[in-house]
Amino acid sequence: MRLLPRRRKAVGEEDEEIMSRVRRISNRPRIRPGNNPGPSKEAVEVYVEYGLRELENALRSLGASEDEVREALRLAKKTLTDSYPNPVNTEELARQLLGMVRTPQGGPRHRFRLPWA
Amino acid sequence: MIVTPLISQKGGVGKTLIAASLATALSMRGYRVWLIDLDPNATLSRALGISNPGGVSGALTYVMGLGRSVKVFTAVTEGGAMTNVRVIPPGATIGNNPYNALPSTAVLTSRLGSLISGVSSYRAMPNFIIIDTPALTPSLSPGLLTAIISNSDVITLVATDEPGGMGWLGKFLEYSSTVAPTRRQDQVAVLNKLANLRGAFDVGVRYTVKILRNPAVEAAWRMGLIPYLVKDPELAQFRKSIDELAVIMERLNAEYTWVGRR
Repeated sequence: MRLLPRRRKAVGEEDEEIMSRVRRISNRPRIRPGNNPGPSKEAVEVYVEYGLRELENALRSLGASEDEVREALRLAKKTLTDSYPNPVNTEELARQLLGMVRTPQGGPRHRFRLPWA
Repeated sequence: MIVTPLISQKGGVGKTLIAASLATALSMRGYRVWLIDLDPNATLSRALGISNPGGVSGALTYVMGLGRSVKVFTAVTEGGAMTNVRVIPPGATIGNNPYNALPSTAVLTSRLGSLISGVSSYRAMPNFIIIDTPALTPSLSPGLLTAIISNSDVITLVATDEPGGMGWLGKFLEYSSTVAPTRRQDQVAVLNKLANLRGAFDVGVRYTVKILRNPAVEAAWRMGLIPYLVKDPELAQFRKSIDELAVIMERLNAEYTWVGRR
C-alpha cells in the first residue's frame, strides 16, 4: 500500500479555520430532507438484471419452454422495476407469470383473431 | 436489505458524521434507513434529535442483556422530521459504560443478530441498517467487534491520513475474513479528512470513496447540523463523496436483494 500524502497543518490553525466557518455556515440555506432525487438508475438496473436471472432459473425449474421464459421475462421487467428496492418471492412470481403466459389474455389481438388467421 | 457498520480503530475519523450523512442521502433517495447507535457517547442519536439517548432502553442495553426491548425514534433535523430514518439510541451513557462488563462473543453475536432480525421484520421493512460504532480494535474489544462483523453484509471502513488513521486496515481485513470466512461480505473504504485526493490506495477493497479534509464540514458538525444538508460551495466535495457512497450502497443493496440474502 502506498501512503497518501500527509497533512501539513497544525491543530491550532485548524481550529481557527473551523471557527471562521461557523458564522458562514449558520447563514447558508439548507436542503430540505423532502427534496427527493430518487434511486440511482444504475442500482435499479442491477436489481432488475439480478432479479431476471433469478426469475429465469425459477421459470426453468417450473418446466417453462424457451418461448414461455422469454415472454414471462418480458412481462416481469416492469413488475421488478416497480417493486424496487424490495425483495420479491421469485418462485411465486414465476408461477404467476407462467400462468399468465399459458392463458390467452383476451386483449384486442386475441379478441378479433379469426381461428384461421 | 443490507447491514453495514462503520468501523475504525481510531477515534475521531468521522464515523458518526458519515453515518448521519449517508442515512440522510439514502433517505432522500427514497429508502428506509435504520440507524443502530452502539456508541455510548450517543453523538449520532443527539445529532438526529434524540434528547435523552442514555435514559431509554436502547441497542447497547439490549446487546448487554439489560433490557428485552429497544426504543425507536424518528430522526429529526433542523428542516423537520426525516420520516424514513429511524434511530435506535445506545441506551447507556458514559457514566455506566457497558464495555466494562460485556457478555461473551457468542452471546453478543446472537443478541445483535436478534436485534437486526427484529428490525428487518418491522412492518415497513428497512432497506439499509447502518450501525455506528465507537473505535473498536480486535485486541481491546474482540467480542463486540466479532459480533458486529459476523452480523453485517457490507463493512464500511473509515480511515484518515492522520498518524494511526490507516495502518490498521490491512490487519483488520485479515481479521474480518477469519470471523466470517464463508459468508459473502463486501468492504467499502471511506478515506476521510484527506490532505488531497491524489495518491493510490489499494488494500483489496472493492470500493473506495475519498473525502477531503474540510473545516466547513467540521464547523457544520460542531453546530449540530448534518453537513450534507447545508448548501455551501465549500461543502460540494463532501456532498459529492457522500452521494458517491450512497450510490455504492444502493448498488450493493440491489445485489444483496438477490444474491446474499439474509
